[in-house]
Amino acid sequence: MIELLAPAGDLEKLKIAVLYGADAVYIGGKKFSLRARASNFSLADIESAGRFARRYGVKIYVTLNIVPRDEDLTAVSDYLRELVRCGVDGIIVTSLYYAALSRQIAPELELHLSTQFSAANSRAINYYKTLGFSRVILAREVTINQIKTIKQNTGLDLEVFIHGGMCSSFSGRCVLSNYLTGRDANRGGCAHSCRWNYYLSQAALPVTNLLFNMGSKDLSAVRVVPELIDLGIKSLKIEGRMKSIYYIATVVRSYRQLIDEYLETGRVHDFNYYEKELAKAENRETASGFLYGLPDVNEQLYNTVTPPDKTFVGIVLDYDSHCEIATVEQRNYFSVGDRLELFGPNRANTQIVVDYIWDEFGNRLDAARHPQQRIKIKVPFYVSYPDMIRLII
Amino acid sequence: MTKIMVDLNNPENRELYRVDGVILSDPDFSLYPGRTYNRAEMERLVTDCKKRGIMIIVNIDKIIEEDELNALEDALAFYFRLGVDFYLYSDFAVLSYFTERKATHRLIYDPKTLITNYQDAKIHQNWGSFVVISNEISRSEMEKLVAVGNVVLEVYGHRRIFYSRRHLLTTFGKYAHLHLAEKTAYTLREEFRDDYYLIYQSLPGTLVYTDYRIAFFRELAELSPPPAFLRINGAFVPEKELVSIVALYRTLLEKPDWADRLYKKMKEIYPHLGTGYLAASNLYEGDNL
Repeated sequence: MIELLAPAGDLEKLKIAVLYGADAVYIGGKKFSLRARASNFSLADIESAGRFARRYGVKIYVTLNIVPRDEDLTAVSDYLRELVRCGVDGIIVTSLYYAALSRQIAPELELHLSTQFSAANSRAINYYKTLGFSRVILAREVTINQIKTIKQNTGLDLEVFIHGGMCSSFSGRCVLSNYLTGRDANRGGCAHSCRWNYYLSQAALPVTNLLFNMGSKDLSAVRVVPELIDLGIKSLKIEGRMKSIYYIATVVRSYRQLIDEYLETGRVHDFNYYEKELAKAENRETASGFLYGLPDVNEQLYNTVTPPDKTFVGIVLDYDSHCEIATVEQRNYFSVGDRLELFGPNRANTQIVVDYIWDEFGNRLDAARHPQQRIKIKVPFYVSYPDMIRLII
Repeated sequence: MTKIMVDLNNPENRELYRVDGVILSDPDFSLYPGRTYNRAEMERLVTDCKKRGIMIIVNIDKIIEEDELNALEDALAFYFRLGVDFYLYSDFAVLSYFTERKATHRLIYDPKTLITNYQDAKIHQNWGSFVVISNEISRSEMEKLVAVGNVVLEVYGHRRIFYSRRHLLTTFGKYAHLHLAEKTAYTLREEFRDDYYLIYQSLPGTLVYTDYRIAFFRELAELSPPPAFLRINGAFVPEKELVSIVALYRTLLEKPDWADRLYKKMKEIYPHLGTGYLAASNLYEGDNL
């Protein structure tokens, strides 16, 4: 059975990912994990996450995907034992030392090879099996045809990225951030220096007045999901542990619906619908990455400024059916007269026009201005946590 | 006894080098931005070097794609028959091939960024293999790594810090309506920073290098135990300079007391030198963002 694997940077995001339809969630602990800027999980959080996920039959994988330095070697044994105790299902590693240690100390954990290892061919993947890996996360540089051949030539479970940010380099093979900012790219400090602007010259002479950039558009693999399912890929992965709950909800829900539609009917009626849904959560342009071949100019980002996304205006906390009033936690500004769209794990998108807003004490407001303020709005149909509300512009 | 290996940029000059091994880059499977060698040239050079007692190290350090596996096996079988001494690699397809032939002692794992601690080096040592260690580590970490006994130190040259499969110069050229040549070094400077970087694109992808050259030199004499191998990277280094640099390292190994004097000479050859293996012990990890 295909697995939809979602990211979560903290416990709230994990719950959203689970409730919106993920089959598995990957999270990072406070140590040993990339994405240092994500909130990340303490051991107590991981234990809570495990309990919550098990209630829904969802698996938890913990990333130990840094390229470890000496100081990252000593406490890892205890950490692995703790992960077992917390009910974690598997770990994602880049270091072969971590891999070997986990086989000794925590053999009950599934062992996944991180994409940091750039696995791009079946011969290497079959070798990873001999090292105890149960799953390999493929390099994002493989095409759909290569994935097909790799799958035919290996018995190991394969995980493929289907959505989210792309490194411009092979993951793990870039230390631009170390040299430009002193932040260790392979230990969670990546400053995304590939997305910065550079002057390009040759023999000390500028070659253009335009600024050079190496940044990639994000990946969106909507149209190859059915093929990946048919190939027998084990897991479809969404990138983005640092993304918002709104992003996670929108992206997980879209892929959940797409996968379910394909599994139930054997076809996808309208890919455009899913692409439009996903676009509501994206603040960078998307492209197909390497899936159809070497990325060209249309897969790169040039001269692009990404404005902050303010379309996510609130999350439903509660609903009074008698008065048809929803209690909402505000996330971005909206006002009376705005058109809003409500969506949730189990509901179709439904639009309303805001006619009244009250604060939690019943005072009328003309707008919801304050982040995380609890407000009430009229909603003429049943809604519940964790339904979300976006502004239709 | 530490052995020196250097990229052979000009086969006619091989007698100028007083080295223990020369690195020959495969035309299809290496990322090296300098001279590569076809099979006839490889055959000739291996025969010649064997006569002279010089080791041959073949560079096959690109990440291997599924559709390249047959060609890779063909190339490896060719090199295996030739009796090549060592192989620089970064894809485990190569390790798999040599494991099947019980010849992992001929391998040097060179991913540039992934060997950052002694425990990972030990994994490769258990296979009988060598490793090229990351440059982005502290000196004490480097010392622990070298002590494992299977380490190749890249002690000199422009350091590769970025490896992309994308053809980033070509795509930018399309965007900017420019022709940017392949196999040509361009220079990058970030819009708000002063440092320069070299960028180079060829068929396997796009590479970025430091503009300064790493020079781990004076500290080398203090290393105990010494590393198994030193690599002097010839990428973007003019041949005349490369010959002089190799000679300086050779002299350093023979006369460690001359380190300061030799280093001055090295600065005269190319003054823009940076430290290698001397990163702060705690490179900022972003925890306080």
